[in-house]
Parts: sequence; structure tokens; C-alpha cells
Amino acid sequence: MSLKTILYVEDNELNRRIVRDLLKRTSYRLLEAPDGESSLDIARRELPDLILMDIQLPRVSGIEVTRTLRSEPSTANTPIIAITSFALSGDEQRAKEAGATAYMAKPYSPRDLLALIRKLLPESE
Amino acid sequence: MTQPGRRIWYHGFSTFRARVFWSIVPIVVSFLVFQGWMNVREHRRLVTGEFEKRGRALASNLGFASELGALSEDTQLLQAAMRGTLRNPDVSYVLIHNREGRVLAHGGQSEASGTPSGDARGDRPTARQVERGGQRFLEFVSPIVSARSPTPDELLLGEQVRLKGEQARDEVIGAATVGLSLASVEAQVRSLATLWGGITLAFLVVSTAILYGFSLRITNPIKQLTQQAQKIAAGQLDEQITVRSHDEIGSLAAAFNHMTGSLQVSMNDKERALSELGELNRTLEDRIRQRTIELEERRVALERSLAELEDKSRQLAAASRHKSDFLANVSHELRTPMNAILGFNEMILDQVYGDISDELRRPLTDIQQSGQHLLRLISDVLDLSKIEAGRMDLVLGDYSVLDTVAAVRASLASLAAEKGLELLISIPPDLPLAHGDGRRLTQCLMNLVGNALKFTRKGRIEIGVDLLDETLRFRVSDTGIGIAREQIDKLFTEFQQADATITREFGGTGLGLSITKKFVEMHEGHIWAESEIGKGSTFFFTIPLRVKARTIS
Repeated sequence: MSLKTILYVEDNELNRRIVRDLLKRTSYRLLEAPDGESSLDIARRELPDLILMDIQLPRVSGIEVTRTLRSEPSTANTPIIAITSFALSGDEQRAKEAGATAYMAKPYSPRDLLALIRKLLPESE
Repeated sequence: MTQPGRRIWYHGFSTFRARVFWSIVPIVVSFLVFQGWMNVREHRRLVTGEFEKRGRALASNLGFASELGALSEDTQLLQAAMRGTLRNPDVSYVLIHNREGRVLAHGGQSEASGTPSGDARGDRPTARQVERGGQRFLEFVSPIVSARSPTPDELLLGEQVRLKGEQARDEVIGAATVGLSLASVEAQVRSLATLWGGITLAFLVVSTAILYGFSLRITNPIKQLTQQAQKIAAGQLDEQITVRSHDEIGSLAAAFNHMTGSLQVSMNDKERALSELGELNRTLEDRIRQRTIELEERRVALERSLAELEDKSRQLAAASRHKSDFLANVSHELRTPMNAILGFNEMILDQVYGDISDELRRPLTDIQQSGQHLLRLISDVLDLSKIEAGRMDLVLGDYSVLDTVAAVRASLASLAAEKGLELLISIPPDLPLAHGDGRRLTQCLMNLVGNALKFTRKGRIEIGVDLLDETLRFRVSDTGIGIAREQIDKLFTEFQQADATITREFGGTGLGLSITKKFVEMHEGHIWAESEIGKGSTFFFTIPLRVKARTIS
């Protein structure tokens, strides 16, 4: 039985630690990428079951990475949760257009985020 | 008078002087000629008369003197008688004839000998003109009478006796002829005529000279006047008529001078006016040039100002962009630590890191609430900044009014429950799908309901929605403390709450209502409130059911 893999793309270490702590008690396997370029490499290599994509990334933005992932057959159908920086900034709209499955506005409640992950990718028994 | 004369001739009657001259000279000349001719004629008559009288006397005397010689036909005697007569210078020749006409004696010019040319009858000598040898003579013939010696009676009785009947006793015995040469008379007349001719000529010359002078005196001033008037006409107004005479011409000259003076004055005025005008023109041109330069300078300055303004505008736009970018950055930078704080705190509360005691749960909950409040504050401030910078755009899409209201209730139900307040919803069941920025409308409702919850201690809060034509009307009413009428208007201004103490008691940023108002207005809607102190408040806002993209500013 294989663990469900989640790729978290986020440049901020503290935020990565939140999700790391949040998923510690779950069965999900967590992969982390600090920027867009490395996240593409990991996604192509590891083919995660779900991707948490922060929109505001240095250099290549999360929107662009999402668009690229959607254009590649191996990741075209992978659920992507876009983490937007600001509920009213219009990021969620752009993220939806780029192909994100769902979005979560920052600052998010870890509780709510976990609920959303579980909804899109049920934990394996 | 050669030169002026020629000029007179040349001008004919065209000049005044010539007219004066030619009207007077013929009269003078004809008068002089006539007078001379009459004079000569009269003189000739007088001289001839005298001549004849002398001739008759000479002939008569010779007749008497020749009585004895004729009677005796003694040449010696006759010669003696003739000698006296011949002594007279005018006498050219003397002839004495006998009764038969034979020349008894002759003297003087020999060519004159011959028969007596005329009758020698009667007492008185006859006179006639004859021509002898190409010369003209006046010939007088006197009879030679032989008188008989008077008787003593006759001598005693005198003439009366003789007149009584003794006449026939006188007897003509010959004729004495005296020829006077007319040459002297004619010479005299000739010299007289010559004299008169001279006088006439002299008169003519003198009178012509006088006339000429006179005409000069008349015409010279006129000529001078004419010349000077011509000069004046040519524009030499300082020219003065120098004619000084006390006649009409003098008056004319004076009038001319007066006129010239007036002309000069008016010309001077005119010239002054002209020069002033010219000066004015020049200064006007200068002023226009000056003005043009000034205008050009102003135009350049304006263009520079415009360029500066455009530059400033660009800078401002850039600054505004920078500000928005800065705000977005700040937003992100603030949210990142807030996310960490709230995230970790929530996970602690959710016992991700292990069990927590009840004593710890209380302050952790406070941290969570304060953090949420701080986050809302930051969001409000940033929203308002964005709205005012014109960088806030509506994100339009279809949304369900019912879902929106339900989400609001879901968010705030627990808070209402905590305060023991009823949260009611009143929505028509068949509302169509609306079009607009659903997320921002949710925020508006959240603000209003949040306020209602904040200011209500007991009772209920009701969220109502009505569809009036194509307009949605939202209504949030509470049974709270209410708002004074005079403070309602201030409600929608930034950082205004009805009472400063309220902020302390109930919290809140004071930004919620003004952000709500701006969102509503961005939807082309209206917001207002009705309230009564102690009885509660009702907030309304309207927005179009379907917001048209083009109406969004």
C-alpha cells in the first residue's frame, strides 16, 4: 500500500513548517519545494497525488507553474490547491483560470486546509 | 527793350504785360502820327500862305517899279528895278513883258525867259505853280500900270474926284513876273516833318519805355507772386511772398502770406500729428513685438510647465503604482507572519502538538481572536488604500444570493450563539442567479452583520433580501443600542463611529462601513441607515441584480 503524496510549493520556511506539522499525524507523504523551478522537477519525477501551490513565489510564480503542470499529460489531472495571498486580490480567479482545482486564502486556518485536502484526496486506510 | 520786347512778342497776348503793352502802344503811336501829320499840314499851309503873300508883294512892287522902264522900254531902267527884287533869296527869276508879251527884261535863272505864263490883267497879281526845267516854282504875275499924271483938280479934290469918272485913265502897259522857288518852302516843310518824325519816334521810345516800366511794376509783383505761389504749391511752405506794395497785389500778397501761414500751421499740425502717429506706430510695433516675445516666453514657460506636469503626472502614476505594489508587498509580508502566528496557534489549540491544559486554552484563544482582529484591521486598511488609489477592481461573476447570505450566517452563527442572539434570514425562495463581485458583497454583509452583532446585547438580528425590479435590496436590522439621527450621516465616513466611547466598548476599526459603502457604490448601488436610539438600527443597500461590466469604474 502506497502513501498518498502531497507536494507543497512554498518559499517561506515557517509556512512549510506549519503544513509539515499539520500533516505529521496524517498518512500523507509530504514533499516540499522552495521555488517554482524545483517544484516542476519534483512534480515530473515524483508525480504527487496532490499539489499545494503558493501563488506568490520568487522568480516563476505559482500561476505559471500551475499552467505548465496542466499542460503536461503526467500532471494534467493532479489536484492543485492554490494558496492565494489575499482573498480579495483576484489571485483565486487567476489561479482558477490557470487550472487550480481549489484555493485557500492566506492566512488560512490549518484546520480548514486539512479538511480541504482530505476532501480532494482521501487518506488511504 | 530787346529782350523784354521779344518776350512780349513771343508771348503774344497771353501775358498780362503784353496785353497792357499792346493795348496802349498803338493808341500812342497813332495819336503821335496823326498829330504830326496835322502839324506838318498846318505848317505847310501857313508857310505857303506867307510865301504867296510875299510873292504877291514882290510882284506888285516890281510892277510899280517897272512903270517907267516899261513905258520907255528902257532895259537899263528895268534892270535897275529888278535888281532889288532879285536880291531876295527866294526869288529865282524875274521877267518883264510889254503889252504885247515881249520880254523887256529878265533876271535870275535864264531858263525862265519866255512868255508870261499867266494873265496879267487886273490890279492884283495872280499866283500859279509852274514847272520850268524840272523845277517847281510859284509864279506871281503883276500888271504894270501906267497912271496919267493927276490934274491939279484931282490933286485938290483927291480921290473923290478921281473916283468919279477918271478910272479909265489907268492903262496896262506890261506884266511883271516873279518866280519864287518852292524848294525852300518844301525844304522847310520837310525839315518840319523830319522834326515831327523825330519827336514822334522819341515819344514812342520814351512812352514804350515808360509803359514797359509801368507794366513791369504791375506784372513783376504778379510774376513774383506766381513764382512764389508755385514754390508754395510745391510744398515750400516757409516761402514768404516778398511783394510789398500798397495796392490790390499787396493785399493779395498779404492774403497769400496769411494763407501760407495758416497752411504752414496746419501743415505743421499735420506733420506733428503724422510724426506722433508714426511714433505711436513705432511704439505700437515695439509693444506688439514685446508682447509677442512675452507671449512666446509664456508659451515656452507653459510648455515647460506642461512638460513638468506631464512628468509629475508620470511620476505620480509611477508613485501610485509603486504605492500599490508596496501595499501588495506589505499585504503579503504582513500575511506571512500572521499566517504563521495564527496557523501555529490554531494547531496548538487543535492539540496537533499534544494535549493542552484548560488554563492554557484561554490565553491561546485570546491570541487567536486578537490575531484575527489584527488581520481584519490590516485587511481593512489595505482595502481602503487600494480603493482610494483606484486600484481596486471588481471581480465579476455569477453568484447565488442565498449562498452568500448562508455563508455569512455560517461565519457568524457561532458568535451570535455565544451572545445569545437570534440570527434570522428572510429571502424569497425563487431568486435568480445574480451577477457581480460575490466575494465583496459577502464582505459587505459580513461587515453589517458583524456591526449588528457588536452593538446588540440582546434580541435578534435579521438579514433580509428583496428583489425590486432588477435591483437587489439587502437589509440588516438589529435590536441594538441605535444611532442618534444627527450621527447617522457620519457613519459612512472613515474612522467614524457614532460615539468614541463605543469604539472602546465594542471595538471595531471604524473602517467597515466606509469600505462597505465604497464596494456598494462600485456596484452602482446605494447604502443608507435608519435608526432609533434604544430600539435598534436597520442598514439597507441596493445593487443591480446583474452588474454590467462597463459600468464599473
